Amino acid sequence: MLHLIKKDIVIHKFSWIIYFALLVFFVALDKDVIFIIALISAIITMDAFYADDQANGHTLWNALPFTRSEVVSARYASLLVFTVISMGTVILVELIFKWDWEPSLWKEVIGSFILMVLSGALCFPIFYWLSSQRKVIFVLLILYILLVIAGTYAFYYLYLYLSESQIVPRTLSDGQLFGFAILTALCLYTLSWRLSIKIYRNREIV
Amino acid sequence: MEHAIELQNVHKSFGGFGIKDLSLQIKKGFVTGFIGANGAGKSTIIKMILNLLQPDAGEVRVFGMNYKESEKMIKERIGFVFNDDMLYGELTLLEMKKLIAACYRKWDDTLFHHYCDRFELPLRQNMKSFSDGMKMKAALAFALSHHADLLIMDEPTSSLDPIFRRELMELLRGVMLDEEKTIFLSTHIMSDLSSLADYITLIQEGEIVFSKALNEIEEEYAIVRGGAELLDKDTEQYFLSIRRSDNGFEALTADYQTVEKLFGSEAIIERASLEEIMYYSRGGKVDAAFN
Repeated sequence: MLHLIKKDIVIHKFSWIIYFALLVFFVALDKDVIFIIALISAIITMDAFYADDQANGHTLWNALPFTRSEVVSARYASLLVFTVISMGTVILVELIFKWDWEPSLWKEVIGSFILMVLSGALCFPIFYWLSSQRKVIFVLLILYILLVIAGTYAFYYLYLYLSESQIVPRTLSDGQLFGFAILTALCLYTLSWRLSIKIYRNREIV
Repeated sequence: MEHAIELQNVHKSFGGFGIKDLSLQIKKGFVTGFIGANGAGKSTIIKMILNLLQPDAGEVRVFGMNYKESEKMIKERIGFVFNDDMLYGELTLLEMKKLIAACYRKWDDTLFHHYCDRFELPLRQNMKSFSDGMKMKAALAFALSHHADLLIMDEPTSSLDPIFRRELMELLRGVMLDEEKTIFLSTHIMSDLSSLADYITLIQEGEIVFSKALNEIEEEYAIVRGGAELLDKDTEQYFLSIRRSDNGFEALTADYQTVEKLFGSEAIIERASLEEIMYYSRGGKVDAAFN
């Protein structure tokens, strides 16, 4: 399975330079950290799905000595890897650009992780369900990116609402709140992973 | 005799196309040519053998194992070539090799480079610039470089030029010097098979018409041409297919000797080529098991 994750990284090849340039561009524009991490991670994920689709990757990787569970699991792991790479790079670039790191930015970094996990949990089963129709996959992937962008704003306003409503701050600290959110998101991610495996096992690879 | 591939009572409905109660055995150590018209079900069966499609009912066994219990073990021993392009265009052949080589325990890098040299494949060129023939050669190099016991090829020669097609047949004959190897090859180009195949399986509309040794087919099948007066209920039973015209009839028989005795010099009787058998045998169904 590690090999399939490596494949998801390698197939982007020179696109990594474009992703990095995009990331630097958004940092230079002073866009929110949560937005940059989520957008770049979503683009890399979208590109991985799209490259597989273009290269008949479903046929190739399922004819090689892998099980369908491994193929799906690797993609779920790859999303986490892409997100962590984006998180690390954004932190680094922010530090280089601004020589400063506001403590509150950690919330955005963790928020982006939660957002990516949730959006993956929601969208991946749909991709595995519908992506056998090749014309549909491109539209789905664009919708996925739009969902992630919308998610960054939803996340921001939800956090603002929870902070201002005083309900959560009275019972939970920020650390507890984010810890709880990460745990919930990972639980949903696990459920989604199991569902995707079930969908993909029954899929006809034509 | 041990079978490399066994399909038992397989049913599959698929986008308006159906395979009903299909049974087929492919002998280990031989080359089996898989022939049939477009849409006859060749690719569907090949994909079921590779577990890309699952049968609605029935069983598929490869090397006596099933995919539920031994998926990775089976796939380790298969080398595959599809008619579709299955390579990442942005990667070079060398980069693609790194990805694929790591998937097989028995990958042989020296052998891969030998095939790349033999096929004149550029290792450091992006594969999107490869012609269809080069892509097919690359797929062949991958399939042949991990000491697979079973090679499954879905129309590998369709995009190759005649010179390389002949070279490929030579190469596959070389592979078959190892008696443990098995090749299952679908093609539309019958001349490829006559020089390579030991057995031929003909499929028509999802049903196996026959699965026999090539020399048996050459001995048994014939095209008979004669006047319409030769046909009656008694003689028609010897034909799998009859095409009538104003001048007489043309028919395919699977019983050359009887027909020759029956008609003698009254009809023209010629050995049937695989193309002719394919053309005439639409609809006929004979025992699919190897004798």
